[in-house]
Parts: sequence; C-alpha cells; structure tokens
Amino acid sequence: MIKKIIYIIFITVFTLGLYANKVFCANYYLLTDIGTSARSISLGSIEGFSEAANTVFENPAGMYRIDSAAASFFTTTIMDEVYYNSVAVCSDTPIGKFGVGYMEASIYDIPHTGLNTSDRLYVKSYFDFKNYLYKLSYAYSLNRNIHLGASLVNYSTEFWEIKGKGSDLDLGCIVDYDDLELSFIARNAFSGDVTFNNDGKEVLLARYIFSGKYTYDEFEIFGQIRDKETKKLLSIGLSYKPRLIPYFEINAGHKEFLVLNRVKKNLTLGVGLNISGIGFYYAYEKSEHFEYDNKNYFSVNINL
Amino acid sequence: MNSLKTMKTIYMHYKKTLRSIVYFALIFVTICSAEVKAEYELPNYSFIRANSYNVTFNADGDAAELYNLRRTETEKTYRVLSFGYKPMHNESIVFSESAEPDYNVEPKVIGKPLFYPNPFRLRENARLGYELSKDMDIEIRMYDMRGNEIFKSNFESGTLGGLRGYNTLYLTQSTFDFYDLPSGVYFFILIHAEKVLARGKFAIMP
Repeated sequence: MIKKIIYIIFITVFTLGLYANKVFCANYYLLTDIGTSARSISLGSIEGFSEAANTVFENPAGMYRIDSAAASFFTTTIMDEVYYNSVAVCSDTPIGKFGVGYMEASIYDIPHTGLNTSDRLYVKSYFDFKNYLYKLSYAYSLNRNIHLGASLVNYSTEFWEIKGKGSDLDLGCIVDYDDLELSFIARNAFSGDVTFNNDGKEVLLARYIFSGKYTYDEFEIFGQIRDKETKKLLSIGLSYKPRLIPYFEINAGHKEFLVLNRVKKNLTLGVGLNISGIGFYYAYEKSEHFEYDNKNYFSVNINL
Repeated sequence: MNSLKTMKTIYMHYKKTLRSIVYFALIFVTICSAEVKAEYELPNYSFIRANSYNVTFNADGDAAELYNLRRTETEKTYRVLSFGYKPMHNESIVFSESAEPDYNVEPKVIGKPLFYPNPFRLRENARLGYELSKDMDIEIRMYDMRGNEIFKSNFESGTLGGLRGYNTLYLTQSTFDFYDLPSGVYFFILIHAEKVLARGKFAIMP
C-alpha cells in the first residue's frame, strides 16, 4: 500500500512538473550548474551516478549506494574571482538514507559606485556576494532495482543590501538493471520562486534530467539529456577503469551547455584515484575566457 | 587738375562698385574676428573629446576651430555655448585635438573601469566608464559566474569606447540580446592588442 502511494506521488509530481508553466522572466542562478563533483564534470556533467555523498546535489535516490556513511568535498575557483565550495554527508538509518548538503559561491570586493560632479565614476565602498543552498535529502529503495529520493532545497542570495530566499523540491528515481542503470531527476519540481527584499523575484525553473549508464567490461558509458529553458542539452561520457589498477580511472566527456540562449559545446577530461573508500578526483575543461582559459575542479569523497 | 578730374569721374562711375567692395571687406573682417554666440548640439560621439580639447569641426562646408565648449545639464550631449568661427579650408570632417600627438603614449586604462550604478537592475540601464591614455582599439568582453562569455564587442580607435580620455558606454538589455540575466555578479575585461588592460565586475539586482 505504501509503495503504491509513493508511486502515485512520484508519477503525479513528475507529470505536473512536465506541464508546469515556463515563466519568461529571469531564472534564478543555480549554483549546482557548475557541477558538484570533479568526477561528474569530467564525464561531461553527467548527473545521477555518483557513488559518493555529493549525490545529494544530483539525484537523491543515488544515496541507495551508500553503505553506512559518506562525505564529499568539492572546490573550484573560476577566473580567480568566484570561489565554489560544497560539502555533503549521507548516512544509512533504519528508516532510509538521509543526507545533508551545503554549497556556496562567494565573490569579494565588488565596487559600489557613485557619480561625481564632473560625470566621472568613483568607488564609494566595496561589498561581497554570496549565493548558497542547503539540501536535505532522503532516499528509499522500493525494491532491489527501483530507488526513489527527494531533496528539500533552500536557496539564498546575499549582496549589498539585497537578500533573497526561496525553496523547492528535487525528486529523483533510479532504476538499476545489472549493467544498465537509469536516472531521472526533476530539479525544482514545483517551479518555485526566490523572492528578494527589493520586491524582485526570480524563478526556480523546473529542470528534467534523464541519464543512463551502461557498464561494459572495463568501461562505463554514459548518456544524458537535460531540459533547460526550452532547449534539450546532450551529454556523453566514458569512464575507463583498467583491470590491472582498479583503483584508478580515466574519464572523458562531451557536453552541451547554455549561455544566454545559445547552446555551446565543450570537451571534458579527468582522472580519479579511489583507495579504500577514499577517492580523489580531478576534472579539466577548456574555458572561453580570454585570460583564464582552463577550468580545474577537485573533489574528495570518503565512503565508510 | 586734369588728374583729379579724371579720378572724380572714375569714382563717380565706379561709386557703387567701390562702396560694395568696402562694405564687403568690412563684413568679412567682422565675421572673421567676432565671437559668435550660438548654440550647437554636437553629435553624441564627439562630446567626450569636445569636453577636453579644442576641436576642428566642419560647419556648412568650411572647417572651423571651436573653442570655449561648455557642458549643459543634459546628460548625453554637450552644447557649444560660444565658439570662434575661423575658416581653415579643411575639407575633411575631422575631430582632431590640438594637444600633442600620442604616438609615444603607453596604451593603458587610467584608474579603474567602473559601472554606475553598481549594483543595478538591467532594465534600468547602467553606464560603464573608463579613461584611456590614448586613442586605441578596445575590445570589451563580459563573463558570467561560470566563466562563460556573455558579451564581446570591439571599439575602434578614435570612436566612442576607444577614445583618449574618459569613455562612457551604456549597458542595456539589448547588450545581451534582451536576455533577462539572473541576478548575480558579472565580470568584464578591457583588451588592447591581445593584452588585458583592465578588469572589473558588476552586480545585477533582481
């Protein structure tokens, strides 16, 4: 009976989400778009197959892979200006798997300006910018093959005299058939708002991510389709774990991403080292920035 | 006696013509030397330089040297409240400063390039102000918080954006193809000859 109710809730929310109104105003900047683990980024930003605690940020249903407890840390700096950091922890309990995640982006010393009498601009003071989110996640396995998860998400933005807050719900489902695994994510399933203290409002636009992983011998092959602002974005990834050194992996990917309304493409690369439940991952991608034309990402996972 | 008579006859005969020549010369001298009070609205692109230097300006086919430029209260334009009219027989329409040539001046951005207001709402527009040490080609690029390029534009030397002195450019929604940018911090760089001369950041409010 409980299983039937859970099925109905999931199917209803997914269906409502698919027909949700696409509001044509500014969409809130989602921190998680940068990526939440170096491994996922190196695979072309494929989401849903993390075996670490950062699955809280991707697909909460993925917590079914956590045996007892896990922690993840991720960091990157973009253009020497934007500092991204995240931490997530998960734990197995008798009533299911629980996880908590925190992610932030910080920028410092932004000039607050004025105009002088000779029409020149000057700096009055400096302010900082901080965008952060909390996720509280729960995962429940319906059976050996089907796993469901949900995350309550709280978004916040603070800069100058501006403060904004909003909440929404992420839903996830993972279907696991031996070598084939499928992941479905409804991010911001209710298309909520972030409201600001200056009467501004931004939309937490619902996003749907469908991805698959197929394991073939020493290779893992990934594919993903993402729905973002009326565009469908594709990603593919490949992971190679040599049989001789199973704690080492090489990852590569190709992803499409959206900049304003234009779809752009990028190649990604990465390596990983996973020894006794402690994993170190690095990802690289080319940037189109004039000065900082390389992006580097690092993450550490601990699985107990 | 005869010669005086002859001169008088000639004068009487060419009286009108001579009088016209004298009047014309007097008018010519008056026009050339007098300071003419007038109002003239310079085109938008010229005001920055006009504020700092004397300029040559083509008026009705003749170039004239303008001076004593004064700024009015209007935000976008400068008004010439008085100027001296001096024919220069310069057929080209050029805005050249009377200051020293700037070949030996190092290309640089003086001070920090800034946005005003900052932070701002995109639909309410903002201005970018920066000062260049000389006329030069300038490329401006802007990036979002993920390092993605969202704007790129070139400003030729001698035009607004690439002028010696203070340059003011306006940022509107059309700058980003009317895309409603999310609130957050954005970054920009000023490039000249493949070298970053200055960088800055601005914040957009919801």
